[in-house]
Amino acid sequence: MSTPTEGREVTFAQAINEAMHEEMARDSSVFVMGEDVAVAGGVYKLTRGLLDAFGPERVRDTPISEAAIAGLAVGAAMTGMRPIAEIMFGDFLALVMDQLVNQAAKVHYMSGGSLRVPLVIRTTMGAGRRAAAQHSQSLCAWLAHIPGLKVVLPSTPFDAKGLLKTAVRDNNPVIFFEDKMMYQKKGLLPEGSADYTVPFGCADVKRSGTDVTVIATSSMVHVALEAADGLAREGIDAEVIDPRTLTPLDEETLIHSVKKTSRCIVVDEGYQRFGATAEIAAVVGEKAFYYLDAPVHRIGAMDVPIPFSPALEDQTIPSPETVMTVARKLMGR
Amino acid sequence: MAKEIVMPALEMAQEAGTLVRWLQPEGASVRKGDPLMEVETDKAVMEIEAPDTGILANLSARPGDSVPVGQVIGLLLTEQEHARSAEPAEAGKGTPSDASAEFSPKAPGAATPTHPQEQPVSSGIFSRTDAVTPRLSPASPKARRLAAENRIDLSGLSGSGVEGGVVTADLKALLTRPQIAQGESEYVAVPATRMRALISERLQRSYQEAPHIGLTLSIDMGEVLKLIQIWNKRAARAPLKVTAVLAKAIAASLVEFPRLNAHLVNGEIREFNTVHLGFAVALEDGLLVPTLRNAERKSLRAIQSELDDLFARARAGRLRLDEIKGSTFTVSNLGMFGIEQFSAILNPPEVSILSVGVIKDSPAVVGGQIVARPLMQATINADHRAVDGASAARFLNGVKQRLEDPGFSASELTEAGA
Repeated sequence: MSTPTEGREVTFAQAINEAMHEEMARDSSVFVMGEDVAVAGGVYKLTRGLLDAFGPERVRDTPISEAAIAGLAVGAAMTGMRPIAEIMFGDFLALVMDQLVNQAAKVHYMSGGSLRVPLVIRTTMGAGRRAAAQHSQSLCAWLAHIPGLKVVLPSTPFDAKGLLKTAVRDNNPVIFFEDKMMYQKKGLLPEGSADYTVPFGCADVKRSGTDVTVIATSSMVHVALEAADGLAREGIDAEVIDPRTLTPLDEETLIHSVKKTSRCIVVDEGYQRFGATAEIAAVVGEKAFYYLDAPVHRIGAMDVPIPFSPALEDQTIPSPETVMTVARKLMGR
Repeated sequence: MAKEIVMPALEMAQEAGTLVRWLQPEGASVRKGDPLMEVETDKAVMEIEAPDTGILANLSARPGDSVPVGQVIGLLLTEQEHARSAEPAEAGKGTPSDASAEFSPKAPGAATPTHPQEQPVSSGIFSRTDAVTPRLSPASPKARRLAAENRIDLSGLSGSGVEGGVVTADLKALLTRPQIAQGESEYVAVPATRMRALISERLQRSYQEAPHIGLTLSIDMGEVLKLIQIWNKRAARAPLKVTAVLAKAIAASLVEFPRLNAHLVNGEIREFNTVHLGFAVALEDGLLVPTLRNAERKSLRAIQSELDDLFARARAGRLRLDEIKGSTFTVSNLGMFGIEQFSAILNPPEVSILSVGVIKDSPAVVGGQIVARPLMQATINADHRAVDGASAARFLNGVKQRLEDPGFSASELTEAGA
């Protein structure tokens, strides 16, 4: 399921907001909680209008305690609710690791299937807002490492809405990462209020090409697309693929593309070392080895704390220029 | 039961043999004892017989392949086995995809192949670790697979890919324009034969280890030529040639001066009481030294006919191993090329070698007069560790005297008189 070619234009933030409105209207067990999500409508205004529409019972402000938010959400999910809990900055996931990793991810398994945790954690990622080292990280690889958690990385309004609805309806804990730099990015949704979902484990070819496959996640999809435009002017035809979910990972689509192009670059905004790019590159290396004409290349954030200095910050995260440089190398240019 | 054909061990301590060619095509019915293949060892090309009767199949060694001794290089099948193997068995090939389709669609520009060292690597994006000898020459996995499918040897090739690796586009260029690809190189790499490697190893060792001395004199070959003329008029056999007469004179001189008919092994000088004369025979690329055994006991006629046979088979690569082993002294002749004088390198463990040049009418002083005489220059080279200059000089004079002595020739003529 891909972004329609015509429809109504909304922002990434509006698409997520719509998804929450629609899911709360559809299912009364769905509720929203987090810091400043109710009265203030969220620090990025993602939850705007929910309090008015569904009331304080289902749209709840919490104390500034991520551990409490996650713990409450896990418990509520185990008892039959479908909480959408917001962790304002993905960096603060460090505070909820036990609730997610040791509780949410394990309960279904350890209870022999008698308990479920239909939980959605919405959180942010991404550098570029001059928010310094503690508010800019993309830590999705941490959670993708854990069996029992699903990790979703939408890159367009259409994908964000469809994937969030799938997340709410999923009976497993889902971590939904939103790149805060994309909230105002616009895209098309189907006309009217058509109820669509985007399934997990289903990658999307954002741009078709023949020379090099660029597998990119979240906002890096747009970096890759910009690079592809630049490369096209140089006669290099890049294919851009968005896995959309890290777990489950749509290996088939990725491998199919690499077999076609013989070259692969993986771009993710998380730290490159031991990152999501490494995992995907390894999958490609194992399953498309005899179709590769160049080494599989990773591009992630530099292995340093993200600097507050704008000049330095911009150097640490992947850019279209980085992608183009690597693509040229892989093409032997 | 299928009978295996293995690379045979033809010499002690032989590790591998090179298949020169199969003498029967795949699928041929062969009988036990039929000539099956030719195998080159360090020293000779040997014809190998079929070890059993059957139908030749599964020939895995190709001409030029060097194969470890004992490795199976083919099978002899029974009729039933052959009939079964003729059924389609393409499924086992394991070709992951259609190779021709892989080649057709996209050639990303005509990239110029560059050597990895010539391609500066930009900061950190592509790091290299130098000072390792990789097991494989750089090539992408895809290029490697396609090369295997198309039987292309990637070794020594460099390509347009990352770090000079061969990529699909390079292979495509190679396959579609082989003559241009070849023209890009200024030289042709000649694969080293076992013989070339052996010559290289032995002569380098000889030149480094043995302190060579060289002495040259001129020999008047007038009497020898006269002898040959008379012989060839009288005898209705294989014509006599200078080499045979030389062999006779050298053998007789070596009996007189046994120090030159010797091996030097681990500091021990071994003077032989018989003469095994080696003759350097030039091949197209390389040389062989067939050996005339017990030369001092043989008649001119016997020597001539034996040499004719040895030389013919040496050029055809059909010598037996025992015919190229054990010489005690070597003669090298470049007279047929017009060479007047040269110094050969000792053939270890021998301690001396005689180099002879062309027989040429040259001015000589005879009885106070300058006259034209058929002169030949002969050079004795010796290992000074075993042979002193005076010994070598005495031997060389012995050869000279015999060749110039009408009596020596006459005794041979008597023998030829029959």
